[in-house]
Amino acid sequence: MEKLKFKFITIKSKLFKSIASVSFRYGLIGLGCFFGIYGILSFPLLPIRKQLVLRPEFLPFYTEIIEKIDFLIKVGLLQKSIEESLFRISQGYVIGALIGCSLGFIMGLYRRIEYFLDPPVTIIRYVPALAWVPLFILWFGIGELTKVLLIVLGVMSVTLVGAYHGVRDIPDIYFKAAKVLGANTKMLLLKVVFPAALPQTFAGLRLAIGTAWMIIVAAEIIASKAGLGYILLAGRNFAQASIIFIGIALIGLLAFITDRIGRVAYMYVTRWMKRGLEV
Amino acid sequence: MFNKLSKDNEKYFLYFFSLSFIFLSYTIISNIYLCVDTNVFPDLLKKMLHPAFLPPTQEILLFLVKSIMDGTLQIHLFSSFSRTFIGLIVGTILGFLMGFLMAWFKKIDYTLDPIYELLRPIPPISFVTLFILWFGIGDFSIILLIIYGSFVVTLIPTYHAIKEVPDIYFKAAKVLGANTKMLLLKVVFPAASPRILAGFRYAVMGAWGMVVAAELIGSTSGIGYLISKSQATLDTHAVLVGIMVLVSCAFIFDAIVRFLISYLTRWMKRGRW
Amino acid sequence: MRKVKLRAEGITHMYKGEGGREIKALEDVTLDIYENEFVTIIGPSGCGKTTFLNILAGFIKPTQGKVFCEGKEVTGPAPDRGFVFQEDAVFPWMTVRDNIEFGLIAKGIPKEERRRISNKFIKLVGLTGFENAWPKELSGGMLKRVDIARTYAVDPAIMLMDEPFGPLDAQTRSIMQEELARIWFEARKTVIFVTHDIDEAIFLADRVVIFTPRPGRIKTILEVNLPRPRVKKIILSKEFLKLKEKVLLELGFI
Repeated sequence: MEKLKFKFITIKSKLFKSIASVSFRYGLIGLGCFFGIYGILSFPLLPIRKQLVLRPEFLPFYTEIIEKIDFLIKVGLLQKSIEESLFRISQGYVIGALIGCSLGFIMGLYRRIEYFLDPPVTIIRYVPALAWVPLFILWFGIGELTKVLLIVLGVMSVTLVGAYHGVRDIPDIYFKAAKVLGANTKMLLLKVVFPAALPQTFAGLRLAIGTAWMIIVAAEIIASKAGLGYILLAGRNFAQASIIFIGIALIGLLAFITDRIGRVAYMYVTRWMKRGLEV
Repeated sequence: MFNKLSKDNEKYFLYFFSLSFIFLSYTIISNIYLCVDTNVFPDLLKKMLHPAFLPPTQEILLFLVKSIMDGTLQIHLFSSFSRTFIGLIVGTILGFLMGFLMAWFKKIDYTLDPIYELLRPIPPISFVTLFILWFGIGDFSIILLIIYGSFVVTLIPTYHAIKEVPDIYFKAAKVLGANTKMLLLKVVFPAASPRILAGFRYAVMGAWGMVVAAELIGSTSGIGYLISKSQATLDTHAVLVGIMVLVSCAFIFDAIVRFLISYLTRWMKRGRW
Repeated sequence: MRKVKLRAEGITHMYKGEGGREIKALEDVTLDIYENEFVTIIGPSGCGKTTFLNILAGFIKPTQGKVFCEGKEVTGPAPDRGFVFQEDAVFPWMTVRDNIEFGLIAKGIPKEERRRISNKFIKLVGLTGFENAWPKELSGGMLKRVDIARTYAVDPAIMLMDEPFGPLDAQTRSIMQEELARIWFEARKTVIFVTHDIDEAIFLADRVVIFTPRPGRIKTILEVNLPRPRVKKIILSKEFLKLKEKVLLELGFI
């Protein structure tokens, strides 16, 4: 009991210290200016608001944005969009990561396979993910397959590179050490190569989360009837910037959360490493 | 054991083999419908072998030549190029400046960091509909998007690169009498350049990808628009030509940037970073 | 009457250690360094000799006490107090020559003059032929020579060296010690050299300053009257061994 109380007090004092710190104060000023300036620009009673960009539909005030959120929730569009986007991303991510990691792993281990697979992999990597959209629409139509496949391609490219480097960058000396200690191929793979390759592989996996979001947002803008990207499109079609803002905020929030999850996974996997400079 | 390779020749051979394998197999498959009556195949296979789905290699190449001859390719390429370059240059310079300011002056860092952290998770492409709403379909929206994207991608590496310039270089410069200008120009920036340039490389690729995406979404010119139009008119071969052109450009850009980087960082020990 | 180049007066320094405890690194250190003499500072690990050197250079402000260089009080790092670091501080993005000319550019010296000066010092440290080499192509010993050359080039009043040969392997270190002695013999400068290597301390010095363990105080100052220019062989001579015995006694090893 004593220990818990002590811990609580130290957490509280740490919190107070950080709130009172210089960085916090300046940060507050920064945020305040940012939101404050927007508030001023979007303030409904300003006379110049009838002109150009400052029209209320283009620069909605905070109250209007909140109303819109309420509306979207009532209509159920908010939840549905989040669900749809997340569903597509998770499917695409899992498949893409599996393919990418395995391919990258094998390519890292076997030079011959690497050289053979390098041309098609490089070509795929250099195609901007969204350039595939028209082709996939022609091939598979505007459906789930197109979008998921797109994410698969994008995630695959990123995770492949991560896994590849994870294997290739293993210092030769670990192989030598394992061999003189008598490891057979199975032990070598399981207990040396795989764990040593994890850090960079997971770095790639984390990066791929961001890539997946980029792809799904754009793909949903181009070819979708539901989802977060669709919300962005709808905002534009109905000329309501507030809807776009909400979409952007949601995307940002979800992307942030998923990235954090990725970071936790990375930190856990690399818990044995000397801490470099982590973002 | 794993990485055994006889000679460098084998490497080139495998590359060549791989490329020709892909090329040949595609040519063969896409031309099957010409030689064989596809009605004997099951429905799905028949659909896949149809020239509208897998245009034969000849058609693709012919169209490529045609577009170059009548100039459409060049015109739209130019649109895409110019948007990319303008956006890149402005965006990276701004990102570099901001990254430097935030890394050099703590107060600026503290003030702007929360705003940055708020905007960081948002993929830049999300702003495309907003910009189109505000500024209409056209060059301005796309360029603005590229500026924003390049800005974000350049800011992080610049910030970290400058912050991580080893202390000892600052000390050495000071005992040799350098003033702030010399310190920045001859010590800090060169020391930080490898990482910043690596970020620039990503910015280039990202910018190209975003231009294409933005053109697909809302534009009346550019390679992305060409591809989009071809898709609407069900011209699969044109779409494939467009993609081929895109990849080639991406590859060339990256090669140029990589070459530039290797020259500018020729003083570095060849490790990996 | 020898001229005093550097004077440290009553240097006491405290700093906050782990857990917020105040640690006294140096206590009331007073030392006069005379013109063109080579002084080495030696002491057990943690005795504050590196801290002392940093204070002399102006990187750290002492909690108490003052440092005077040629009569003027020291308030921060400046080119009149050159510093050769333990770690590699040669700028890898500049060639050898550019590194050496760096301080000269800072001083505003025109191009031809710079060229002449850098040539002189490249020759002095024995790096002729490597003027346009990249630091990545040079060995540890050669990099140290570049560092020494570029510090010499700005013609500082006094040169401070913080265990510069520490990271080098034993053989390179031995060669560099002799090289430094030769360089110094050809181009006299006032030098303060910190080391933990007893042989090195005696071999290079005119005077050896021995510090106590923390908090660092000056325990003894030994005069080294071995003939110059110094050659490696003298570390086997009777005089050298006598001096070494004295140092070992002062440090408490024997």
